[in-house]
Amino acid sequence: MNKKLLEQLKKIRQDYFNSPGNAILSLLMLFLLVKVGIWFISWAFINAVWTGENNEAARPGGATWAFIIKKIRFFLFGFYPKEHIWRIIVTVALMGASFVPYFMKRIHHKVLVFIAHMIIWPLIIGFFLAGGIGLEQVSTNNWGGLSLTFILSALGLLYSFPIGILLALGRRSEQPVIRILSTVYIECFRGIPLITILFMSSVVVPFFLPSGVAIDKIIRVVIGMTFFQSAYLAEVIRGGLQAVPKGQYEAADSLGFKFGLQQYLVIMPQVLKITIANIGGISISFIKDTTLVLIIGMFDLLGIVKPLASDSNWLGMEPEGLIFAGLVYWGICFAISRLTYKIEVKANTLPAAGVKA
Amino acid sequence: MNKTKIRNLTLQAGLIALLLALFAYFGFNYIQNISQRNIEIGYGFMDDTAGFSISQTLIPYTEADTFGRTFVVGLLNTLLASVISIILATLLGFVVGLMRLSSNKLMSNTALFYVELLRNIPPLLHVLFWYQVVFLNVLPPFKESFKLGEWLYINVRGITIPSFVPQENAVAFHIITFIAICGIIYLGIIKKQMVLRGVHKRLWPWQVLLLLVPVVYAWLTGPYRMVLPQITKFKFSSGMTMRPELFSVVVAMATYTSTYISEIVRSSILAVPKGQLEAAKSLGFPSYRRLQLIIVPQAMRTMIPPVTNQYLNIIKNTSLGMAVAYPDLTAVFAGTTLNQTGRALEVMALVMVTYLSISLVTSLLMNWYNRSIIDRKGDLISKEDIPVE
Repeated sequence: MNKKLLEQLKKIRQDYFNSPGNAILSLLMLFLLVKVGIWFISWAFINAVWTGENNEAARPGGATWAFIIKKIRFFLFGFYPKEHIWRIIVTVALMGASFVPYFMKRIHHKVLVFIAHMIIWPLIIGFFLAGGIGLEQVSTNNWGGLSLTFILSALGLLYSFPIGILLALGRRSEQPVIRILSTVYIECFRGIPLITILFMSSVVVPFFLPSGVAIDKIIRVVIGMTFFQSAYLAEVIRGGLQAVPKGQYEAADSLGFKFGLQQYLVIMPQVLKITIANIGGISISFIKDTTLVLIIGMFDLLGIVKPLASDSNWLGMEPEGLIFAGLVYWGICFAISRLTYKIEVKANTLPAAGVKA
Repeated sequence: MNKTKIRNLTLQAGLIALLLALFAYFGFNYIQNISQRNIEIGYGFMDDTAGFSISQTLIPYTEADTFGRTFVVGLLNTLLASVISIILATLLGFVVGLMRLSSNKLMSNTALFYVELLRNIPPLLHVLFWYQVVFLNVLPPFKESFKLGEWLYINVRGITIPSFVPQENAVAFHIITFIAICGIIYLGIIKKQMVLRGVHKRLWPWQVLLLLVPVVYAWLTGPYRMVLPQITKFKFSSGMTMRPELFSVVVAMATYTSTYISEIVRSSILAVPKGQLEAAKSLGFPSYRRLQLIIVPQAMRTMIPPVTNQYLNIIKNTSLGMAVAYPDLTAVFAGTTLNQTGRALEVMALVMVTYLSISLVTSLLMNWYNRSIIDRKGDLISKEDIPVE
């Protein structure tokens, strides 16, 4: 027993006090961490208020989580009419269920599932969320909260994939026109802030449409974000393309594959495997980027904090709202980074290309 | 072979035709829409009076100035926020990156926590957090501002420090400083060449001497006069105030981007072969000299390209300041000016070209720096290139 304790003490000395300088740093850091920790715990838990009808319930030095609890519907679904919220749940559930075919062994060409998503998702969203045919129409101005964040990220990621792959192939093409156009596209979109593109889609695009034709704001935003994201995705895919050994191309050539089959059967599977980590990272930034729609007046999870904290019953609740939104974003992004890591580990344990297991 | 050639040519021609058709279609629509609203095409509006005020300007600006000047004001604000953010993010990123490599578990875990916590939160939320939570909720109101002697005031309206008013001899001071800096850089170049030739001669005392010249000159003649912040009833009548908008953008960008830079720093240092560290140890260098002389210079080479990307991200991300009304290029020009003039296409085209140019210049500068340090390491220079004495 004594020996065990001694060993532990030794380890602590090794890890935290292995030199006078380190000892001072450790103590200083410990002091700071304890100080911040105590303050945070007393603010977030001990002094926090969990119930109440308005901001009079708030206590000094404590968080008013009652605000979040009372307004949770708006954080999740925005200003979507209360009696129609089931439609959002159905939409999300259907979109989630549409991932099942990816795990079915019988379906060999998963790319068909992907193409099906590209057609089905907007139909589901149009039918259930927007309504109009059979269901009562709900203006897209009322969409908001986490569900809007989800829709923007999902659609943006879905459509930027095929465009990104085409651009990456285009940038490596031997045909000058295609190569130059792809390069210009990628570099232009990577060189400007997303906000300017969102501005373009909300202010400039209507000028380019024939008079009398109007496209809904949400569609314009999704298109703008897709254009933007596909440029970044293209660079990731291009990195993967460069990492595929030349021999793989030659092997595919010698089997008589034409360009399409060569890419589909030989090159792309390897590219996707190599770039899993980067694709995960870029998906996380896409999700973080969806917050920018608040600047053009849409109420996503972050954008809805301000209108909710402007409610006369809950004035001054921005800190709680922002911290709650931050927590949710953090959870989503962290989960995706873990998931990516898991997929990467799994992909690396798969047999290498060309080896039959 | 010929068949594929023809096919490729038709493909490319088709693509060009398609693009031209699209452009023609959109152009036609644009002209029709514009003529319906009686707006002229072109940049003539840049000479019109703007008529709106801007909260923070680096150059003199009044409502009577032109739209062209709003563009310059916005551009300067973007550059200001970017430069401060880049410096802070680099410093913070280095510190956190080195902390993560510390043998002290408490340090490395705190750094890990910092990185994992901050980089999974959208940058826009960072900006809003610093503005709405820290500035509007935590800092004291104007009347009860936090004071540090007579020099520093912190309150809801920003951070106020003394301002420095140039005197008559400021021009002479600037010229002396410029010459001194040129001299220091010149000596640095000479030193580099001497190292390559294998000559070792101390030059740094001369550099210090050169640095002292402007300092002593400033001491003796006082080219700037310090003006302490003076409080009148509702505002400071003198002093320099860093407004909360700028502060939020800068701190948010610095903390958010520092997480990425710290990861770059960490991985580049880990990428330096272990033998280098062991060699430095066996030569008896103390730990900070090991970092300074052996590890960091080698890690620098792998660091520069990804760090450049982060700098470009900062420049683009300062446009997020718009959410807290920081008057940068996007907010002032693509926002207010566009609304006032209605020249959507012209304004957006100018903004995009400007951002692209800033990005291009930054990339060029960083590439130039990258080449210069690779040269210093002597990696790109083969043995034959080194002149033998």
